[in-house]
Amino acid sequence: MVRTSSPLTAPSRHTSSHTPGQIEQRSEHPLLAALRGRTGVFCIALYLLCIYPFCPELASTGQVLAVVHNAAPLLVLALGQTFVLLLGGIDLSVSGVIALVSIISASFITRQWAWAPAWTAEPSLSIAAGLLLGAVIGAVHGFAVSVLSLPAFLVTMSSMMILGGAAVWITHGERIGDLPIPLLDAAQRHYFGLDISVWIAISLALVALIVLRRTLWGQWLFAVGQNARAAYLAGCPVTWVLISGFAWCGACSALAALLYTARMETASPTFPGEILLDAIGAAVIGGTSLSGGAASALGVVGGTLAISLMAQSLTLLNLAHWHVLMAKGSVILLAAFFDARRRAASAAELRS
Amino acid sequence: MSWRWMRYLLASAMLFAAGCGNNKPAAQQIDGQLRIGIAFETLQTEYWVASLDNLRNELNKRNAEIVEVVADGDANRQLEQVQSLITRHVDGIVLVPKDSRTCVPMIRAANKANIPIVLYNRGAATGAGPHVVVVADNRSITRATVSKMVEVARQRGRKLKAAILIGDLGDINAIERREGFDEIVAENPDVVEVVARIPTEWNQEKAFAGITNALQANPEIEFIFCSSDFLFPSVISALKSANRYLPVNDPNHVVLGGFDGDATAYGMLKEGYLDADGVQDVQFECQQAVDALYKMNRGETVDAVLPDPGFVIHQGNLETDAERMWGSQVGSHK
Repeated sequence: MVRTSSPLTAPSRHTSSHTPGQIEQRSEHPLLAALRGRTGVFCIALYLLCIYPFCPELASTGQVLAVVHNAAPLLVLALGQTFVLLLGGIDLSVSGVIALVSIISASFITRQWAWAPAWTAEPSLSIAAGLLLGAVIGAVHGFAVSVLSLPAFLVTMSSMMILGGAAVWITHGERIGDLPIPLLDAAQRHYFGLDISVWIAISLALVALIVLRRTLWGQWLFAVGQNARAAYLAGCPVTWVLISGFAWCGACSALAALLYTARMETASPTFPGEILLDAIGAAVIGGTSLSGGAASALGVVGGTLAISLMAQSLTLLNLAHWHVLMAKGSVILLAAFFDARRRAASAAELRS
Repeated sequence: MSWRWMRYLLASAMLFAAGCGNNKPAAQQIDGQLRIGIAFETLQTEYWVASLDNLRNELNKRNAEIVEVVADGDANRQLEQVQSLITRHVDGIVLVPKDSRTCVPMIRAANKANIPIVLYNRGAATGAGPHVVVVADNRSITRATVSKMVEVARQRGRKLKAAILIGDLGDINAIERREGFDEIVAENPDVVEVVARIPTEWNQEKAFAGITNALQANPEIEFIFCSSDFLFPSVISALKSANRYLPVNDPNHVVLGGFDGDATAYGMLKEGYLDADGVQDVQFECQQAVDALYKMNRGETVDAVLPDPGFVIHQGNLETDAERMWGSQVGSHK
């Protein structure tokens, strides 16, 4: 899971969007230099300029707000996934975590289980329990990856099946509705014109930004993602960093589950797996390297808005969902291609 | 992301915003023409495809502007699409929801925007707010279908072991069909005994795995009710693998029944493999849905539930009633 063969590069506070071993080229044009690591966002800016003449409705206040609102839960998911990708891993269990956290929190709140004590129906406790459950699931993934040396792909894919299956088993496939109206009203309230989920997502993005740029934990995440062995030799608690990174991802998935539940007013034991691809796509478009060691919280915000924007604009053009899928897939592939080219160029520079 | 890059983005956004003072929908509407949004949960089955075609026909007859969206099975995406229709100022929405609960916020959003909304073929949970539902009477059509199957089974002179393929339990239609089946089975304990209840979540792969396992565990199953015709290909494959897919006149024939009235079921009836099928009247339902939207736009009152009584087609009335079965009018049967 963790790369140990990448060049030894010390993590820096200011290289959050740079790839390992990246060397600044002073002679490079400023615009090209600015584009390095942000080709995905550049592609989206280009896309916006190209599509606008065909879809001027996109600029209406309602549509802009729709893009932002639709992006909020996805941003929460993408920020979680970014931390794991930064570590050189991946978390495929997202849909399973969302389903399980959603139905467990909703079951407590709506008193579905006779054995559960009355105090578990307290919404704040149920929400906290959901977040804790997500973090614990993530920590277990991190433990399996770091201590048991299991591949993250395998661990989280298995987890997705187990958690998704458990969610259906617990509810017998039925959705849970009848959530308390005051709770739904609170969850859907608007502040300064934006849904509370948007403010939650913005707050989380700020936390991620500070963590990645200003904290020791953030430096460790970059260090482990760039070269785990070097990080270990330099005194970084690699095991703890891996466990905490996966736990963050699990907690973010749980938070997204709660946002989706509040939005749909229903907890569902099944959740479309496509959301995982959207989250990874948002991270990659935002400059997160699939090989680990490079990520940017602001880039992920841009990537998430890009995904939401694409979906909204293509819908406005009356294109079918599969067209949206093709467009999203192409942009993500393009971003991954540029990421690979960047890494190859960096490696070549180091060799020379 | 550097501040320099942020400046580029901000400048682009300002240019973008400056270039677009028009907040109104781009498409030009003719005076009096209604813009109707159609939001389908899926187009996975023939039933939904036929429904979409019929809705388009009905709306085209009235010269409406149609805006279509399909959520591909994702309730969250469907909510986003409905909100998008609302921001596009549609005059009415025909919604095929994924299930009875997740459509509640969609209905609420439409109500808030004063846009009439008609739920097509699936009802909503209680407390959803004002809306109209056009829906087949799933329970009674299923009861009639299973009664016909029981009538066939009774001729065997012994108790048959039965299986039911159940749909997504979040879908009220699936629940009503299961209940209709259970009621008739309970009324005829001397004819049928249920040994397998197969959850499919409206998924063909799950249906195939489920019915294959059930036939292996209970090879004596001789009575299968399929909650939707679109699952029949899975049932046929599993029966063929077990050498049990036999015509109705064969003494070892497995008594088969379904619900919807699609082209597969019509083909099976015509070839003599299917005993009974509950048929929904697609054309009637689409006409009712569009009529309701236009009436609400004129300020007229519409009943909250517009039922489709449907009917049962079987080997006995196939010749006379085949034309009423929408599956006989689509695909290769057209």
